[in-house]
Amino acid sequence: MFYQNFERPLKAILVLLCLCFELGSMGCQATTQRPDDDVTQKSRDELLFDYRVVTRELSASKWAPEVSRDLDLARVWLGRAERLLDEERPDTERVDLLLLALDGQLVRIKTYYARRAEEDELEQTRLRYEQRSKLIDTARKDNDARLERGEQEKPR
Amino acid sequence: MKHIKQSRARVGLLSCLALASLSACAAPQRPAILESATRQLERDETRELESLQPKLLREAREHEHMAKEAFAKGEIDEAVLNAHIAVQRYETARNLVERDASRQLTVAMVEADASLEQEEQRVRAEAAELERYAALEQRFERVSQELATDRDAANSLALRARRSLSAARSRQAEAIGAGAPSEAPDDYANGRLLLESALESLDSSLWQESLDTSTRAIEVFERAILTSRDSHTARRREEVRGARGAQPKIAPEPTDRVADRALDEPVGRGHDAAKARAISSIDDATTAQSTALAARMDTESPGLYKQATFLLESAERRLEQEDWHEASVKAERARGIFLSGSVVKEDNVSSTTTSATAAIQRAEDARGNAIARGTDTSLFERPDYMLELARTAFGRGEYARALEKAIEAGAAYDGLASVPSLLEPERASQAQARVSNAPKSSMESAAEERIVTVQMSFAEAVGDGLDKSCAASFGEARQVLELAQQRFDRGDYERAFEFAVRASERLDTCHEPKPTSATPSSSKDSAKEERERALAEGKQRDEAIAAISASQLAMAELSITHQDDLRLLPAAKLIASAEGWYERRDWSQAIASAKLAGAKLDALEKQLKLEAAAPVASEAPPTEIKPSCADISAPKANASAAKLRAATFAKTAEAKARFDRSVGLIVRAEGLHASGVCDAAEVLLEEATTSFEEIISLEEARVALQEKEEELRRDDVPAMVAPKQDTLSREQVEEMMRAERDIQRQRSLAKASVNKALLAKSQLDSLETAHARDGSRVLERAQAHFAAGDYLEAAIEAERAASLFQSRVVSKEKPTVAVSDDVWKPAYAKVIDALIERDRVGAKLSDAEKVTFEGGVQNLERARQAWEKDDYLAAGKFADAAKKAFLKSETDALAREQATERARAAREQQLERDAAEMQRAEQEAKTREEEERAARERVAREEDKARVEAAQKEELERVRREAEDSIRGAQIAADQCEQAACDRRDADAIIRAGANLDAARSAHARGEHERAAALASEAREDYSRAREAKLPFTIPAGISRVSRLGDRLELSPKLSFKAGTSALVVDSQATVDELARVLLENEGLIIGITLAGYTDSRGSKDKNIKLSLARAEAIKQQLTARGVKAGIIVANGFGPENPIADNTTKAGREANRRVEVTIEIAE
Repeated sequence: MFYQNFERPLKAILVLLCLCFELGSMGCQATTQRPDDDVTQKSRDELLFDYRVVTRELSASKWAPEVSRDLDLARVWLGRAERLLDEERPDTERVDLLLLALDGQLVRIKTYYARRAEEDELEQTRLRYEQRSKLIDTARKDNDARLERGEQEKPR
Repeated sequence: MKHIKQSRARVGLLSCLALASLSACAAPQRPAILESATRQLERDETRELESLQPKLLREAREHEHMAKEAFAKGEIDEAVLNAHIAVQRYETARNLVERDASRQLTVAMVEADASLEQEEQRVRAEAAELERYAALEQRFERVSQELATDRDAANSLALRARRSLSAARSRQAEAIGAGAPSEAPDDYANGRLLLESALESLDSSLWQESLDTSTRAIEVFERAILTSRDSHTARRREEVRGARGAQPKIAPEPTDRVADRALDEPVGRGHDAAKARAISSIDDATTAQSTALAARMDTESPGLYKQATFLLESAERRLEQEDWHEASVKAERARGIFLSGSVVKEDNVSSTTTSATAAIQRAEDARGNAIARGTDTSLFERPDYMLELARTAFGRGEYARALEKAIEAGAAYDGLASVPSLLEPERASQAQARVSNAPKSSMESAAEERIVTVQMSFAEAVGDGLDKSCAASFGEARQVLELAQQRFDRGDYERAFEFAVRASERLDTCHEPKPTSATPSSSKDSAKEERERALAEGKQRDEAIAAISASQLAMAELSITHQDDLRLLPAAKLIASAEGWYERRDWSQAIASAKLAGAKLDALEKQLKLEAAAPVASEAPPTEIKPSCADISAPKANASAAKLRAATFAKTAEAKARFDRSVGLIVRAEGLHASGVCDAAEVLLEEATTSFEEIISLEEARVALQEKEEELRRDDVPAMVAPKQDTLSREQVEEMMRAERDIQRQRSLAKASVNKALLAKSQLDSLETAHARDGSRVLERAQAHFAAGDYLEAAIEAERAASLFQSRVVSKEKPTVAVSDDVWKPAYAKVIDALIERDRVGAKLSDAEKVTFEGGVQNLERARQAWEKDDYLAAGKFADAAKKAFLKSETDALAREQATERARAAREQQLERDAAEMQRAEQEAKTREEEERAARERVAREEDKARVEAAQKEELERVRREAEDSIRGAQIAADQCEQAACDRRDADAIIRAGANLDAARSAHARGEHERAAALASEAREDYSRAREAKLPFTIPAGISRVSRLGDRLELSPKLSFKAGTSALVVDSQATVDELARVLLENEGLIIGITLAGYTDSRGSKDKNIKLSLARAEAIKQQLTARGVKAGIIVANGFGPENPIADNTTKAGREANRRVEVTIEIAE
């Protein structure tokens, strides 16, 4: 009887204790770990690190002054993404959007550099072509003048 | 109640309006980046981008859509980010497209550059050839100058060689202009070598060799020009084909398709038309062949006829092979040649000149016909060139060559004219290429072309007469060519080609210079020949003199006895004719005339002897044989009167010379009259009269002019006003002085003559002789003339008187035998006249000019001998002959003098020309020198300019480098600042520095390097200041490690615990005190503090976690106890996680038993 009278509240207490433990442990986890898994967290950091390195590299290019505004924007987004990630409950959607924007920004700058490299190459080729054309024109004119002079001198 | 409801409704309405207006005012404006993205995606060029980069554009549109949605939801930040991504995608797509476009252009430019490089090589080759050409030119000029002074080079062969060489040089220039050095290098090089060889030969006086070599050079150059033009045409066709092939889908041409079908499929309407055209052409050619046969073309121009026949046969073969186009072309060419031959014969013109003209005309007509039929004129290059060659050859007088080239051009035009009605030119060329590319027919075509070429060479060789001059080789070549034709007919094209080549080689041997025709010692031979020719000429001249003298003597001897015999006249005329030929230096004619005269005189002498032997026959008295000469006393009187008048006017040297010449004419007229040549005598007298009258009129005009000048001078006309008259007047004065000097000279001469006569008179034994009396009378007249100032007449009379006094002839004044005065006196007068002429003419002549004169002296001696023998008649005749000889020697001397004068004038002209040439050369040298100086100055100026530009560029580069260095330094400072969190120390400086750095970059990009450097320096200084500024947060002592992550500081203080407990070791208490002090000092900056407790690896994990948490809590408790707010401290325990040292050692484990402090600092 006692047991029966006592058994129910014991079970209830045990259940309550278990619940408390579980809740406590969940609370501890909440304070020490971020909501999503560790792998994703690491890849975001790595991405940020990579983007920072890439931004540095792109800033050292000779065409960097032409895209300084785009580079500044990338730096701003880098800082914002880092701050967001450092928050206790980071807004991952916002972080991911920022990372996407960062990625696009850096690709845009890279493609701009590639375009400028091709344009410079084209300009160099064009200059070479023009110089050669001028040289040929000059040589041809000289040849024509010589021929003409020869023709004029012939009757004499 | 109703009012209340209305009021409520109004209030509600107003409230709604207010809310609506408020919401409208509060509605946020769309971000600019979103507007920009929308605009970009709506542009026209976006469609093009979309076709090239569809994925990126699709993403751009998706993000733009997402941005709009986010904006509609009020999520501005997300909207902005999505809009940025949309713009990024768009810009990335554009960059990629632009990059690809630039890359393609670069590739195209590189290809163009490569082709330009080839062009450059061609132009350089051309320049090099021009250098060689110029060197050759100089050499040619030098050789030409040397030849101009070389008498050996004045023959026609040398001139032909030079002309041919000059033509070869023209061809060389033309070949260079046509690009032959690069297009046909072998032919061109061969031509140049031949030309140099020809020049060498010319320099060595090997005229024939030079002529042959330069002719071959011309041929080779012409071939090179043709090859170059063909290459040019082929290239142009390729370009056209490439241009057509580049866009077949865009603009397909139905006509081309039809043409292609006609080419590729020999069935259908195109096929029938081509076949009909070919059959028609062959029919026409056959008709033309009949016409040519009727016009005897096969015998008159066998080479051309055979060539045309061969072409016609080829056309028929092509017809059998169903190659309609080629059949048509060949038939048209054959027809053209047949028609040319027919035209020549129909006109019945045998001369090659007319044939060539007709052929050129026909070729021009054929060209016009081809143009009228729509043939593309770009295909005319080859026939145009042939026509031009024909015209050039015609201009040079090479009619056979002109004929050949014109026929070839005409046939080519006919062939082209047959094309456009069936095919487009391009397609026609394709058809030709298709036919020629076929493996079998390429050999066939080559053999056919070769045979036709050799046949043309045969025609040319026949025109040059090689079939006679080089009969053996020509015959062999003909046999080999027939073999080639036989092989060709049998379809053995390779052998046919080979035989044709052999035939060509055999024929070429005829063109090679013969060893005997030009030996190395030909210049010596020429000199020898010249010497021999001169010797032969001298011999002929001597013969002529001897013949004329012999005939004259014979005439004189016969004249002695038969003075009035009219039968002497023909011989006299022949002798006069011989003398005329002699004067014209035609010795052979002179000899012939003189010998004929001699023969006539011999015959007459024999006849006279016969007549003398038969006295009855010669009964007729000589006096009855009167010469039929008209009386010339009237013209003689006129001439004498004119002479007297002119003598007073002949003051100037020119007038005097003319006067003397006119006097000479009178004397000659008298001589001729005496010889019975009355007509000529009369003419001479009239001429002399006219000449005297001209002297008078000219002198009168001169005197009138002189008087006018005197009058002007008297009127004191200033010299400056009339400089022309002044100059004329000076000339007149000089003339007068010259006249005065002449008069003085004449006076002295007359005086000398008078003195001579007086001396001769004083030496006479007796003055009572007839000649002494005559001499005295003549002397008196001379003295009278002298006194009157007529010195010339005085001199003549005095000389005559002296001759009278000095003459031994007249020492025997009177005949010793009894003869009447009529017998001896004429002879006496003639002798006296001859003496006078001897003295007058002898004084003028030099020893070298006295050949004829000596003959006269001999005749005079004979006259004296005859006089001594009292043979007065013979004496008179000899005296006449002597007088003639004297007059002739005088005329010869005059002619020689005139020739000398002409030669002198020519020399002077040559000298003047040389002087002018030298002056021109000097002027050219001066001009060249000035040009060179100007060029040097220009080069110097350009060098200075380049130096200045280089210095400026260097300076600019230096400034640019400095700016770059400054910007790089500022960037490094910025990075360092970023690492050191300078913005926490001096935020204003960092903002300023950032702005300056951006401004510096912009200025650098704009090229304002100095400003960029200054701005970057300022930024760098700002960064440095910010870095050196004091950090607001002081790191407490005893911290083993500090790291910063964003806005957080991670501190690792030396907090060690006793093993298995949460009790701090004693040494760590000081660290906790220091940490608490710093945290309290910076309380305003700190947002939160996190304590992370750790253990070593010993023991169970759960236990260690609890222990680590207890350690963190212990530290929290101690900090709280020292005044730090508990609300900002969070304690965590991680057990053995994240060890910082090795757990296997004691020291490591001690280090791992730690609590890390993370401080979050406010912005």
